[in-house]
Amino acid sequence: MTTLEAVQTTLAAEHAAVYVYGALGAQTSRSAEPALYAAISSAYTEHRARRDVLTRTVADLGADPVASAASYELPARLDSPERVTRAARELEEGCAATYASLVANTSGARRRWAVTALNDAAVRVLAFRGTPEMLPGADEYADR
Amino acid sequence: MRHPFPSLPRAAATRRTTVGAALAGLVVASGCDASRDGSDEGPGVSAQEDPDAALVDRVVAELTELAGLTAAVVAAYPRLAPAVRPFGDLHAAHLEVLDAEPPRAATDRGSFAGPEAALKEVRVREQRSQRRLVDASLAARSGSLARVLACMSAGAAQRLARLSPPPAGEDA
Repeated sequence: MTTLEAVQTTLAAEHAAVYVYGALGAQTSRSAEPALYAAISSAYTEHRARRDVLTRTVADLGADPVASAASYELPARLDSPERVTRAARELEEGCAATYASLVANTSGARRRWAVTALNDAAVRVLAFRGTPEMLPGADEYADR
Repeated sequence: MRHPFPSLPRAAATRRTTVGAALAGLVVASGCDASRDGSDEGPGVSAQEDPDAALVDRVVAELTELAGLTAAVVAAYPRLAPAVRPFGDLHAAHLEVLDAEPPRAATDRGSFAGPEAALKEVRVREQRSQRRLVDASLAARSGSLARVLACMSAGAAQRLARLSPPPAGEDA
């Protein structure tokens, strides 16, 4: 995988993350679930920022940034805070894996940015009731 | 309608038997390496050259030392075990990934000024180690190794985020 392909793949994932977080926010009551709402709002803002950085990175690499899909497959049921929390957790776990792959396919400043994004995603998993892993983002070691 | 996360190629689950052989194997298996951004040399790191061997040795040395520290702190202050032992478990798992043996037991109880000082030392040194794992990931020639080191840093970041203040009262 080239750097451009890896960045485009990560951008596609961030398009999806922004979409899904928008849906999760819409399903979360700000008054009834203030902590969850704040965590989702914070994550939404962060993923939008990362999406924008990735868009610029693709342009810097001389290509057209991959576009967002019209819609994305959402978790089947988002009718409780627990299900919203789980969906957010799984989303961040997916982001961590995506950024781990970006680390492998970049170097220098771009790799540093990817490592930071991986670390942020891993810590954000905890905000959605995740448990620490030995190697977040490396699914092949998940049983350790 | 698209699934939120496109599938990505992942590095193989192969354990490292030697640094060079495993890195070469991972490069072949995952088809990725650090060279794609232009600042490194090309892919196809051979087992003989093993340009990351010294880097891995440094990481192993630091993780081994930290595993010893966490074991010593737990031996000296058992009440700190819930806060400190997860770091020891983390280092043991990471050493295994790097095909190194974790220390089997605390070699001594250390010399700490008290439980708060011991926990503070763990926190400070774990934070430093987490930053060094990031630096090691950036320095790795192999993209596959860089990914593993970055994931290690993420695991450390999670545990640091969970590290609670030292418990009140005297320790055993």
